[in-house]
Amino acid sequence: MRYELDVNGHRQAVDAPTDMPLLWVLRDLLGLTGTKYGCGVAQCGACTILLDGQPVRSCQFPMEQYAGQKVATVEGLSPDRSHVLQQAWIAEQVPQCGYCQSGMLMAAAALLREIPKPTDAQIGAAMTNLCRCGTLPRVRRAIRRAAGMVAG
Amino acid sequence: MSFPLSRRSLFTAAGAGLTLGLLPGGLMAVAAPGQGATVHNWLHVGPDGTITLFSNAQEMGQGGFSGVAQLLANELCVPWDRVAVKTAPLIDAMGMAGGRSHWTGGSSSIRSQWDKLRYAGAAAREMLVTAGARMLGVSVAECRAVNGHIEHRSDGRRVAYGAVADMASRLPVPANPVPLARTDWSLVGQPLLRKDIAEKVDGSAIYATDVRLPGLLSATVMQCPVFGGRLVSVDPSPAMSVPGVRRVVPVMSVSIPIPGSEQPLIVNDAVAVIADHWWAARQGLMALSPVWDFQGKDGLDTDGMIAAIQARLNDVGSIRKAAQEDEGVIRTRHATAMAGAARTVRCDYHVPALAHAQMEPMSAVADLSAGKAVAWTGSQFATSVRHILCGLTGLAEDKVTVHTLPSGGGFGRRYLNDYVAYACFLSKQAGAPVKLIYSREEDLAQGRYRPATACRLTAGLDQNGLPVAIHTHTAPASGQVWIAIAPPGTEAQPDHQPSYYLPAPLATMAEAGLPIPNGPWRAPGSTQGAFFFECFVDEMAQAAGQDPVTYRRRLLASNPRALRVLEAAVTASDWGRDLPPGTGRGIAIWNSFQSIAAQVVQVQVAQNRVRVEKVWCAFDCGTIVNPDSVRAQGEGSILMALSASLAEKVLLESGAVSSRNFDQYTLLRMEQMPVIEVILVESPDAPVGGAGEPMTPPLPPALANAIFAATGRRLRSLPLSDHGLTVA
Repeated sequence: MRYELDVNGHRQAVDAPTDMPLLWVLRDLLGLTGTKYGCGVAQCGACTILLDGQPVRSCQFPMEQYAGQKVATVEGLSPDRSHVLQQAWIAEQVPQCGYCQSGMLMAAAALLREIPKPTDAQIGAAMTNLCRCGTLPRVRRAIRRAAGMVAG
Repeated sequence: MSFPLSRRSLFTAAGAGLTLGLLPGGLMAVAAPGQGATVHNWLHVGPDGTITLFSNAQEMGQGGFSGVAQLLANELCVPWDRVAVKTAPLIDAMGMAGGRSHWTGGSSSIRSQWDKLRYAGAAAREMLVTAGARMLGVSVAECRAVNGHIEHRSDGRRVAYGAVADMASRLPVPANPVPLARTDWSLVGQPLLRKDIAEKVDGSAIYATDVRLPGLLSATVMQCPVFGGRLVSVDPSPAMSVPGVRRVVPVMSVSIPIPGSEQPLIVNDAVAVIADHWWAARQGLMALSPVWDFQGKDGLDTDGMIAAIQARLNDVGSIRKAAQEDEGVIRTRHATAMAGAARTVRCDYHVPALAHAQMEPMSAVADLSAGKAVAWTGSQFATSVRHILCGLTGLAEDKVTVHTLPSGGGFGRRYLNDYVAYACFLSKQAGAPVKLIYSREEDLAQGRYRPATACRLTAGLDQNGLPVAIHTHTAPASGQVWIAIAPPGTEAQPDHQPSYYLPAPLATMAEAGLPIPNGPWRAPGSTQGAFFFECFVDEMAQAAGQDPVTYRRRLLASNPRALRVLEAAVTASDWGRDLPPGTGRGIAIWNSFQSIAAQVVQVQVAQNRVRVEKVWCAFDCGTIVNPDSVRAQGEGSILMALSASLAEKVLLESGAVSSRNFDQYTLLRMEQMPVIEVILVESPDAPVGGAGEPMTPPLPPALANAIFAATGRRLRSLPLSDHGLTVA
């Protein structure tokens, strides 16, 4: 099946099986490998992308559900790591292995779009992504920093 | 301090003709004349002033890749923001410690290479200073290295490293390079930004799963779900009808000869599907119905595993002792002391098998097509990757190429290269480059698990409640788990053990020998041993009628360094302050990887709901290279151990793992996370210790002790979910 995707502001055409999750279209057909496979069952959040600004776990989003939404991946946050979340992530030295961080960043981007100054409870409720390295305290700090809630 | 590779052997290689030099173009190398090849290059100072440091620490999140470079850069006196760090090539002299072997683990990247890296950096710095002095027309003694320049001490004239790199490369190697005095360190001890972080915030970091090559195929694999089962047959046709599937590969009776070893690498029987992309490979594999033979191997389930290790608690077991010690003497001394005890305390414990559950499922890329032998992996053991390539192709070591990439988490799992062997084998079969990615289900079902372990601890106490004899008896499902204790008067404490010197110790072990693959899981052995022993110390304290901290202070009277770490945790947490009802605190301390960690955990418990409020962790690793990295490892170790303690448990049904994804093997989420405070204690005169693992072991016992303080319930097994406790 042929799909016209809008990914990070670029229109791209791909041929993909209808049951193929968007995750694998991005990774294996479009070469956008920043979005990660972690579990395939929407548990870990490593594959989180934005569809029209809403966070979606792309491992559980088959192409047959795609209806022209704007897809945003970690590669589209900024061309030069200048996005406020990327800057906060570097300042707080958030990543360890880094594998879950693309999903963390996209979930955080969705959160701040919805709630510009989230409370810790709101951050906790939104950030259900898994991280085995234990970067979660720094993820929370970086979100606060990006939201202008701590002194830079 | 004793290191496997002394400074002397680095530069002279015991007369084997190693020389150190900066080659033309500015490459610093230890080269072996007559052997042709460059065998060592830790750093490159380019004529244009660029500084490239080569790190031999595989980066799996622990910060070692950048930390090794930080230690080198400190010695070289270069500004950190001008330094680029690259992965060291897989060449002999750049292996770990003094060996040829390239591996990363054991919290050892910094501590085992402390001297080697400092002397390599110092030698290069001295050669640059000598060249700079010549260019300035002054004596070497009048110059010093500052921020990537050679500077005249009194008139301030300076010349950049790059300007003299070529000249320096032609100078003789200093016979006795002198590392900087601690007071002259500019970078060690500073919270510098890690070099691998920026590429991890925009998706540009390349893990094995992300490698792209012309003609690259994707594969996934299924081993027999029952451990030890063999593949009988598989009908490939259901997979072949999935669009994109190229071939189905039965992996049967494959063994890979390993150069220099009598033992081949045995590859488990499996079925693999190779396809144009991973989704097709996965769909193809799911469509197959392989016939396995696992007769007689499918009897084990979770409860049976625990029962099997508990049954070994009554075994005499084998004894842990030094070669020169006599078993009879140890047992008699222990029995005699125990007989004289005023009272005895005995408790049984057990902990479950754990999965590593690193976020990147096992993955590797290999190209064994058309005479090639190349692998891209995030393996913790690159030398073993090379062996696999050589074994499968018959090529010599210098004809194969191993690219070491960052990995999406290791924790010990990536020390075992089963997934690399499959990738290489499949590439050879397909005659094309292949990227293998385990599904999460395969990753969790074919782990190299932290073995489930049972333990019986027995102590004889005197009238004051202090131990006069102690017996640790461990029963791991498979592998080795000991709790060894040094008696008073021992010169150096063995590592990975309680922080106390205790009289008349006896350590025995009875391995259950269950057919469950085991492997190193962050602080191997210590995550079990610390839980057992530090929970037991609280039971001894209770028997003695003493506060857990007061009691530990008495036990640590002869170990001032560990006592200082304990006191740092006690002070930071204000131990002893009044707490609200339902709130309790626990403490634990443990030695591992030549470091000491003490933790206080505070919990609030109401109606079987546990809120872990705060963890204080005091940590002494001797000397700290990057305090922010060490804090990050503290946060990570604490959360991994907490996650394991809450609800992690590998489940077995009919000989196979049934906890095959994160809905059944549940990890901690942000809402369950406590506040964490890491208190760094330095011991400049002590050997440099590790930091990636030693803050893991104290958490589980400190948590269990805190729950006792809050509720009066002793938890002698984990996880908490087994006790009807949920964590909010």
